[in-house]
Amino acid sequence: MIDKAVKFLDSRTDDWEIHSASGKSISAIIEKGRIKNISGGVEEVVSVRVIVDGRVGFASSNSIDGIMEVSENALRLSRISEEYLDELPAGGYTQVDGIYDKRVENVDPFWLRDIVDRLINSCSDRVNPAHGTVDVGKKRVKVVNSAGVDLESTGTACTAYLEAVVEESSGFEMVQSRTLDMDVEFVGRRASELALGSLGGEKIGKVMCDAVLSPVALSQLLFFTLYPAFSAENVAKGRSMLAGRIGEDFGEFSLLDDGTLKGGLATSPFDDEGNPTLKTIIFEKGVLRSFITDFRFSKILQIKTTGNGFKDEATSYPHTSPSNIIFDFEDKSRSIEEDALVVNSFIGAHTSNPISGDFSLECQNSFFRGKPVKSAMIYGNIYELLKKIQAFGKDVRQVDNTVTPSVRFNDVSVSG
Amino acid sequence: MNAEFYDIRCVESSNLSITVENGNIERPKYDFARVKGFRVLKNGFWGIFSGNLEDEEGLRQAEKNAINSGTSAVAQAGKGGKFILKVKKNPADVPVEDKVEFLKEVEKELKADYVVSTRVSYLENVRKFEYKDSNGTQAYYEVPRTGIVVQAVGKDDTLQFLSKRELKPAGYEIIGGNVFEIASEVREKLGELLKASTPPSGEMNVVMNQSLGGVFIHEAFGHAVEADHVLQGATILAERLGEKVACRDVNVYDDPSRHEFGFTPFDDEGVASEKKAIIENGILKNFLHTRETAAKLDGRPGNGRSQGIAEPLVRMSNTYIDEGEFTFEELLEDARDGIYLVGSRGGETNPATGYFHFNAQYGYLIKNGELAEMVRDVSLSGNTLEILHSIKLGRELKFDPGFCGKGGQLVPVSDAAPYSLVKAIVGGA
Repeated sequence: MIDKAVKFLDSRTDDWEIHSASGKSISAIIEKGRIKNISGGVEEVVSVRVIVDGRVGFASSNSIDGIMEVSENALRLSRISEEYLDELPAGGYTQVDGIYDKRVENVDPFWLRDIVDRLINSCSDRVNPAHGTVDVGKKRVKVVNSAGVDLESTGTACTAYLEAVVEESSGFEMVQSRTLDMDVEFVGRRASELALGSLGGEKIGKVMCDAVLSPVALSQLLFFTLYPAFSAENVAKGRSMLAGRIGEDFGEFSLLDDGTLKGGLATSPFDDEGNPTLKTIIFEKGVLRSFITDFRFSKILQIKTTGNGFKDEATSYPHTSPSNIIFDFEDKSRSIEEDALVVNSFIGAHTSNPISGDFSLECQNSFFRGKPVKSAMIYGNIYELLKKIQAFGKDVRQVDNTVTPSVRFNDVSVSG
Repeated sequence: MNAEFYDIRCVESSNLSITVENGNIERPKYDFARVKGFRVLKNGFWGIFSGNLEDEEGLRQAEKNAINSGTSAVAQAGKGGKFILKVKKNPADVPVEDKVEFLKEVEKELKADYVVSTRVSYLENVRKFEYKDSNGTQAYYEVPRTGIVVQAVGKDDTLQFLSKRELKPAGYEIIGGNVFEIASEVREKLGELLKASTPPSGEMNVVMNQSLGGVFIHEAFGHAVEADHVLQGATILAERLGEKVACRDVNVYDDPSRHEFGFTPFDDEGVASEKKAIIENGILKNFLHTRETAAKLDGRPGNGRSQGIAEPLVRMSNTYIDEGEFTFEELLEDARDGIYLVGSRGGETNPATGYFHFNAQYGYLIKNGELAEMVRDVSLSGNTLEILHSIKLGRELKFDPGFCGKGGQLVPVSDAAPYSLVKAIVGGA
């Protein structure tokens, strides 16, 4: 089937790429302290990107049997496309470690039930383990193109999440890992602590105070306010406050995109276009050094590709997305929570303004001078906030794309 | 098979999307998927499997996951049936070149000296859904969805963006002159927004327009009546059925049978669509249910929805708070001093605590009962029940389409409200 498609694509297009992603997963759902169901599944998506006379077309299907039709559809769309690209990358890969755990292959429903029991049992007796999931999966990505790319990589991903509820208070925690070694006890314990600790909160009113954002809160905030700004596509399209500002000073922090990080949640040997993943310094001691980019925008901006051409979903075009983002700062203090508003997570981070960097977010499980806060909104602008970093904590962890400890900021506006 | 219940779903979905961005057709894309999902209920416990397998093999795989015992059960779905949404103009019959030309014309409408980036996206989807279960329910439907999303970015001292959309369960007939009106409104408002000031913050009187009021009722209240949250013990409304949860004039409904963006003839468990009263005269009447939550809580099923063939979860469809008696001017007069907020960039809520947060597209200060200067980047937060006890409702109900996310699944929905007046916490940058 593939051979036939390759023959067709060779004869009808100038360049082509076949991307296939196939996965297998098993997960369990927790409802009010009990395991409610176990689901398994297999899926496959094959997508074809073609270039004809410099114009790109794209189509996908969830069956390899449909690859001829997918190829024809991609070709058809290339005729009206003004997505211009003159070639596909010759690609390559980087040796990476810690992204595949063989044991995932053998996970069965009984193993899953045991780990769910451990998660539930690690919660305090005083809370309701209201809702949670444990999810284990394997994904194989294959990229082949007419420029010589022929790459394949298999990775695993495991997550455990739990929301604990007590009266009108709730708290959640999660672990995300490339291996089966998930500290689920941490999840149950921490979610319980947050729910119990937030009972009987008091309003804080309108104040200006120092704020400590946890790795979860920071990951939510940075993903929606800062990361879009250093994507080459947004820079090229006038949607970034960082456009044209390489070399300018934005504070004292460092920020690195590292697709090769050992065991990183977004680590892979190559991106979805077959380019090798890299380490890219975005901010160095506050100075903006570079942007991240996929292949097409590396050509448009005339910069080197950074191996950040990832697909949001298997059915979408690859486009510039962050891999593992490592947030760093010189001053790492042991204790940063004194006399500050400590925020564990936000509600509504996705409503931030990805272009201006303005945000105003409702805080969850927040504590002011050690006492729970009932409701508080933090507001400001990400570029101003980044200039107010006082210190980094030592509790470094990765949440989604972001690797960071808790961070303390000066003089943050709070309303509530 | 030794099971209480099983069902089999097959979903076929085809999508075309075309985007014109800054004058160029970017990322034109076609995708097709046909997927199958299997569920087996055995000893009160669900085993689930998804994958393109023959029915018998799929059920066998699902049964393998039904290893525990539990308290799950299913309510009856009814007989099922067949529904094919007829369109006036089949999108598949419109040449892709015509669609492209139309998008380019619309994009021109967005141009202005302050506009630095423009985007017009066209979406066309057909969902074919086939359902059967061990009780003999069989359902089938085909529903097309078509629409346009218009967005522009403007630059002055700051970068601002504004977007609006028109999405319907319909064919190409909905694409027409109305889209040009949407585009010119985006252009004009964006120009004003660039000159807008930052909003005040703190608790104040807020008049919400229909679109923001719709997001409020969806986010802040709708999620809290999803019965899975009730079973989890994770909603502030868990024990409140039959009680007064809002002031007297508040009526809230969810209606999947209405031909708005959240329309489905059957839900993803084969239950025929019907309108449900959630609040009537301030009294909490019903939760929203899947067949499972309905069986456990003695409710009516019909709100089990899935993205693709993922597990059906309790979801809203077309959710609205019904009209009251005040005119827009009366609400402004009543607010005296405060803020009028328009549109939404989305929101989020925690049903367990009742706290919500969402963001308006822009707003105007209200001074002495009249609209004053424009403000930007305004957020709104508060506690659902506190707000519903003091909300004042106006007229002119209007539905706004969108996609709602829950448990990693997105489904098309719409929500609506009349103009309304509430007291809430406003924050701005």
